[in-house]
Order: sequence, then structure tokens, then C-alpha cells
Amino acid sequence: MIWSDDVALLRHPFARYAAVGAARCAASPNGALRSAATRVTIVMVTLGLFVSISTTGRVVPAQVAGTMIAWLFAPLLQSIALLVVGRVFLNDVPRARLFDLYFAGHGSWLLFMWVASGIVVVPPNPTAIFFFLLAKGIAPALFVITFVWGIVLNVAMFRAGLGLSRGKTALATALFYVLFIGQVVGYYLASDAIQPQMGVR
Amino acid sequence: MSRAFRVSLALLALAALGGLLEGGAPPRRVVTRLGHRVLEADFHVHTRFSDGFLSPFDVVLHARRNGLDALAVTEHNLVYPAKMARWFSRLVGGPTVVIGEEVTTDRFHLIAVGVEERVSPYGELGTIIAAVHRQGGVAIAAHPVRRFWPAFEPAIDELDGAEVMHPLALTSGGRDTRGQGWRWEEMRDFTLRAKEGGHHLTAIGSSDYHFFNGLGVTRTLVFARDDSEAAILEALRQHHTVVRDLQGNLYGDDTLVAEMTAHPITDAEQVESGADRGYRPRGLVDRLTRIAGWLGMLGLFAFTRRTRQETRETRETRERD
Repeated sequence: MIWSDDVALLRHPFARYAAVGAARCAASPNGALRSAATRVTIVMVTLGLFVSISTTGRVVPAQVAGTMIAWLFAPLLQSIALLVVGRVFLNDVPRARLFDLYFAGHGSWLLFMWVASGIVVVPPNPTAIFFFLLAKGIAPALFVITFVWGIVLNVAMFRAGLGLSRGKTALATALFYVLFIGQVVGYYLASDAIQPQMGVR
Repeated sequence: MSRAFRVSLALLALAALGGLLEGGAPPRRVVTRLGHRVLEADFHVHTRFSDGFLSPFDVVLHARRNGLDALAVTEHNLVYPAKMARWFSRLVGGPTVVIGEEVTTDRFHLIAVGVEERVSPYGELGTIIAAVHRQGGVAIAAHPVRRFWPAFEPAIDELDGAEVMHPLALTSGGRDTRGQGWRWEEMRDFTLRAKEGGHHLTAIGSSDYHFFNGLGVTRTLVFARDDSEAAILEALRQHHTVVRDLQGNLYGDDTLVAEMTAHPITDAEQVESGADRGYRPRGLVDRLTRIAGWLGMLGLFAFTRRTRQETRETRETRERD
């Protein structure tokens, strides 16, 4: 098979997560850790490429590296949220396996970033295309689809990849997003970015 | 490693080489008019520490790439990212970075330029402007569309400047693009009405940069004695700026506008506004390496990293276990 787990999971989230989950059961802890690290690296490099291409139109190595460092907070916050969810619902699952399965499910965001980068590289007038997609609501719609697809992948991971019941899958997914988004909102609250815009005087 | 994955890595290496060769900053020349140094500046820039994409360091590099002589990093109610940008720019010999903050509330947004400490967003606009001035800073009305006029108009004598040009101009064309009273024409009218009323506001053109290539897409020409922070702030206080809109109309100090009309700055002088330069390939090699990078990006996550043999061995191990 030519396609990676990221793509295979996009096509058949539940069936593929069941297979990947079983494979990870057979893997050694070191193997799972290596695999998780590789997946995080791929996500961060892709993010770096997206920011570099969308900013400059090119792959500028310094920009890719700078973005990978500046955005490290994202996988870090995801990992914190995942650790808490693992502690509550999946105490018997090795953490390396949990991380490996979770970071395999970023395909929707990777695809989104690739498509968005294409707008800069392929058409002759990227700015006009961008404003058109924004004005017609296509860009926001793609973002929402990507976000929802990401949630579906997480549900598939908890249900098919890690064998949680339906109820626990729903709770684990909800807890993960509350913790992840909560950390981001918490930062903005701490930096006073939100309250003055809400009318707090 | 699979062959498809190796090809993807090779494409990315090729693209990175192209990025190294073509992604540098264009050379800057010193431009002067009427005894002033003419600086291209963007006084409204965000980073990853609020709602932007780039780190403060990457913003500095991107500003240099987009031909800016000066910028103010202006995070929502924060100043420390601006200090990071200034430190880095001094380290690498980048553009002049002036510490700034976008004091952001539900009634108005105010750009505070030249402050060293955070200005609290809580309180009335007059109090906030006074706090900016106490630090030696300059207070600029950020995108003063009509919904912000009730806050800005009573404090118009305290304001130092107003954004008269903004990327909203690229999209609005008279339309309310956000459906919430966000039209560039309203921003422009705020400055024109102030002038009619005898209030002299420094004309500012800013990109309100958050992401993609638009840093400096709308910018301010600052006429300063040199490119130091102090000289730039002094020029802003003295209204020594000129801003050009998409139709080529000039706003700002009357003498400087007359000078710029008589002796406009040419591209050959390395001062160019409104350019989509980052997305414009410089030649065939540049175009090809860009496409190589985009295809390599797809291959990086879409193709399996394992060879067929490795995949077979993994499957056999799993079945055996």
C-alpha cells in the first residue's frame, strides 16, 4: 500500500483505527514512542511548510524551522489534554501507544494545510482567490469540515483504536476538547485579550 | 524508507534550496525627500502570541523580505512579543522595531506605538491615551470604522493619528464585507472629517498583519531624520507621514503630499507599496521549486514511510503474536 496511515485513516477512520490500534498493541514501547515522535515531526514539518508557503510562496528553511518552534505549544497542549484523558479513561494503555494513535489522526488538518498552500502556489492571483473563498464562505466551510473531520478521527481512535465503549468514547472526546480548547482560551484570558472585548471595564 | 516518501523528501530538499536562493530580502536603498529619510513602515502587526501565524522573530524576517524599514509589533493588550521582536531585529540587523500594543476593547481599538510597558485596556479612551503619552508613546486610532466613532470623536484632540489605509480597502469597495460596519471608506472618512474640523491627525497606513503574505501591503511613508525609534516617533508626532490609497490618492502632511506628488518615489528607489511580491515567482526555477515544495508537502504525509517489505514483516509479526 502506498498511502500513509494519515490518509488511510481519513478514508476509513474506524476500520483503519482498529487495524492501527492492533498493530500498536504488538509494537514494543520503544517502537510506539519512535512512531509517535515521527508522527509529531511530520505534523510540525507540514505546519512549517504551510506557514512558509502561505507567507512567502516558497519553502524557506528558516521560516519552516521558526514555525516548528513557535507552534510547538500546539502538540504540547494536545499532549497535556491527552494525558489527562488517558489517566481518566485509559489508565492501562501505555502512553506511547496513546500518543502514537492520536498523532496518526491529524490527516484532516494536514490535508487542509496542503490545499490552502496550493492556493498560493498554483493560481496566478492567489490574493484574489483567497478573498473570493473568504467572501463566498468556502474557506470558513472548509475549516469547519476539517475541524469536524478531526473530531470524527478522535472518536474513531477512542472507539476502534482503543476499544472504549460508546459512552466513554463520547466522554473522552468531550473531555479532550474541553481541556485542549480550555488551555487556549485560558491563555487569552490570562493575557487580557478577551475580557475587554466582551465589555468588561 | 519507501520510494514515494524518498521522492517527496527530494522534492522538499529542492524546494528548500530554491527558498534559500530566492527567499532572501531585497536590498534597501536610502531614499530622501526634503532633507528627511523616507522610511516604509507598518505600525500594526500581530504575531503568534495573539491571533497571528508568525513568531515575533519570523515577523522581523518577513518585514525585511517585504521591504519594510520599520514596524511596530502591536499585540492585543500585550507588549512582550514586541520586545522579543525588537531584541531579535537588533541581533540580526533587521528593520527598526518600535514597541507597540493594540489596546483592544469592545468600543475601540487603539494602536499605542513607542510604549515600553503594557497599557491597560480598562478605562475610558481619554485615560488610555493619557497613559500612552505618559510613556512617550503615540496614540493612533486603529481601523476607525463608523462603529468606533462614538468613542474616538470625543477624544479626537488627544489622538495623534488614525489609520487611513488598511487591507479592508482591498476587499470592501464600498461593501460592508463583515456585515458589522467594517468598511474602508468609513476609516478614510474619519480622517477626512477630522481634517475638515481642524483636527490634525497623522495619516497611517497599516496592514493589520495576522497571516499570509500581507505584511506591509498597505504601509506608511515616514519622513524622519533617521531610522531610529526616537526619530520615527518624533516624525509621527509631527505628522510627517504620507499614505497612498489604491486609487493613488495621497493623505498626510500637505507639504509632504505636494512633494510626493511632484517627485514620487520610484520602484528603482526600492520603495514599493501594495505589492503581492511574495507570491510572484521570480522566474521559471522559482516557480518550479515552489511547486516541488507543494508536492513534497503532500508526499510527506500522504505516502507511507515504510517499504513493502517492512509493511509485510510488521503484518506477519502481528499475525504471529
